[in-house]
Amino acid sequence: MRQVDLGVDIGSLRLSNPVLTASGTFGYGLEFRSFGDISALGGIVVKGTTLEPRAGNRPQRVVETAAGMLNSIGLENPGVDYFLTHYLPELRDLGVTTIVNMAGNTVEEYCRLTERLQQPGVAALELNISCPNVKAGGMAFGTSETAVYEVVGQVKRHTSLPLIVKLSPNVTDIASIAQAAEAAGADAISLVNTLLGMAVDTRTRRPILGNVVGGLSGPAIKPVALRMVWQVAQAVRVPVIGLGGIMTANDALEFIICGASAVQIGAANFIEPGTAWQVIDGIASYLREQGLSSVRELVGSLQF
Amino acid sequence: MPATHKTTVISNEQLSPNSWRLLLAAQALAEQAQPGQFVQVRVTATYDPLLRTPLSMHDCDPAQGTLTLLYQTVGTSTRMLSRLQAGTELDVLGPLGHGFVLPEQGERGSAILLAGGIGVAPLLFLARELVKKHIDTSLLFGARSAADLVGIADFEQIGVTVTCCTNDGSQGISGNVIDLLDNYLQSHVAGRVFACGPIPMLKALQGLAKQRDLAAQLSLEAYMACGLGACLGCAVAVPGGGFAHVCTDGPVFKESEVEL
Repeated sequence: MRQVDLGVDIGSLRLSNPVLTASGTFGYGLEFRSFGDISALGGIVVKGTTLEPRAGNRPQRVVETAAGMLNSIGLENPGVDYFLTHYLPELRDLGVTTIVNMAGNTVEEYCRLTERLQQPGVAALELNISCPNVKAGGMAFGTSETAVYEVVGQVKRHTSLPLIVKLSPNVTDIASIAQAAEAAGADAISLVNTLLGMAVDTRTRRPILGNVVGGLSGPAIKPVALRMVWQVAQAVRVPVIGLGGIMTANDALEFIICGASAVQIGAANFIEPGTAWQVIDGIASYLREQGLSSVRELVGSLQF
Repeated sequence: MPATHKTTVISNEQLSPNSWRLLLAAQALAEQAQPGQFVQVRVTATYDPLLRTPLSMHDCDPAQGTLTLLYQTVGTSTRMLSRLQAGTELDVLGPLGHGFVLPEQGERGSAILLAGGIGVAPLLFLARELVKKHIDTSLLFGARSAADLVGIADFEQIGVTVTCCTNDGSQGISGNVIDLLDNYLQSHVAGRVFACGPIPMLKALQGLAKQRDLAAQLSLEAYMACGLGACLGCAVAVPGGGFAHVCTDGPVFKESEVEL
């Protein structure tokens, strides 16, 4: 079988292949070890991590919708110190490319978190300014160009690691937000986080989610995510990482063709835990069929 | 370790207007499964419904390589499941979660299984293991109506004493299963209690357990996406604040471990 080059660069970080797992959908990777070699993935983005532990929102936290699901987990996580002592050493020993998704309530908190994460074994940081499920912070940072510029610029001063900024789709003009992140020093842009949605129980006339609203993910959002990735890829020079409803290698290829240098697998991990590995194989097969030698030739190759 | 298994439907039998029993050829799963664990079935390879359906394991026969699931048709996924014919392939993820804590080898005594409606599902597999350990096992089974008291003969066949109650009095004593347990304890030694059923029933059992100093294990249901501890969707409150996760910390909990 002809060898194809799956390597891609995200800032100074070289990924062995363009397939990452999305934050909040793959735990700390270790939960998925019975489904494949997690060090063979392009990388994993761990659960949104905060300075202090967070209990998360009250149940019900998930509900299925047409070809998708809503969640309002609320950034439940054991805090950065627990991550550093309980998960990072094992991930490092296994040789996993580990990207840490960071969430905070204030710019100061994001900066302190960034400092704590300057550790061997952390390959890159993903700045989460797009979580729809927490009251303070999260998405509030990601919906204004000035706030994005401020938080990205400040965080950048505290790290030499590649900084990926994860954008919310719940904005009027995603390209301007991406440009603000790039201008402030982002090394890459990942998008999209979930789309804000809700569901109602008509028998009780109550919201189904304990948090009333939640984030929509799954195949239902893929066309929206793809359009936004395409718009952002044209607006910035830094690499773009595409996500939103990727279930198959073909879905991933659509994002790459639209300009994504890498992709993240999210909700699909919940349904088919082996998806990320299948997507890697599927991308390689496609490259061979198309007579391409590197996945980089495919990035942004959309034809009109 | 959890894995996805290609199983085959052997039979899919309707037991009442909305309860079904699905027998699967699932050798690897049958060999690994422990009572109280669960599986996630994928009823369609398309995206609607998108998520897998969590179901407890009703029975398991490693010698025959079979797994039995008992389920109620409550939504799109379970209705689709009820239409599966013998010979169909079914994608099953499992075994998942922590099951019931069984008595140590050589431990004697008795066990009370407490079932509310379709909550009887995980208890047959458990009863089989208890009987193997020579534990004197009784099933107290409450349901809305006689038609919902499904699978009783399977318990009786392995030597479990079954007492029933229904809300409408159509079979057994008229009343709920907690009252039945309370009465039962007047004349029987309080052994271990293993329970599965609706939240109000489990909550009432927690109260009774405290009052009578019973050791009870509760099997919980929750809305969940992955079943693997990744999505954190299936949160259940724990005393002192914070949450446990039904999929990996449970689905079976000690009565004092959760706040329902």
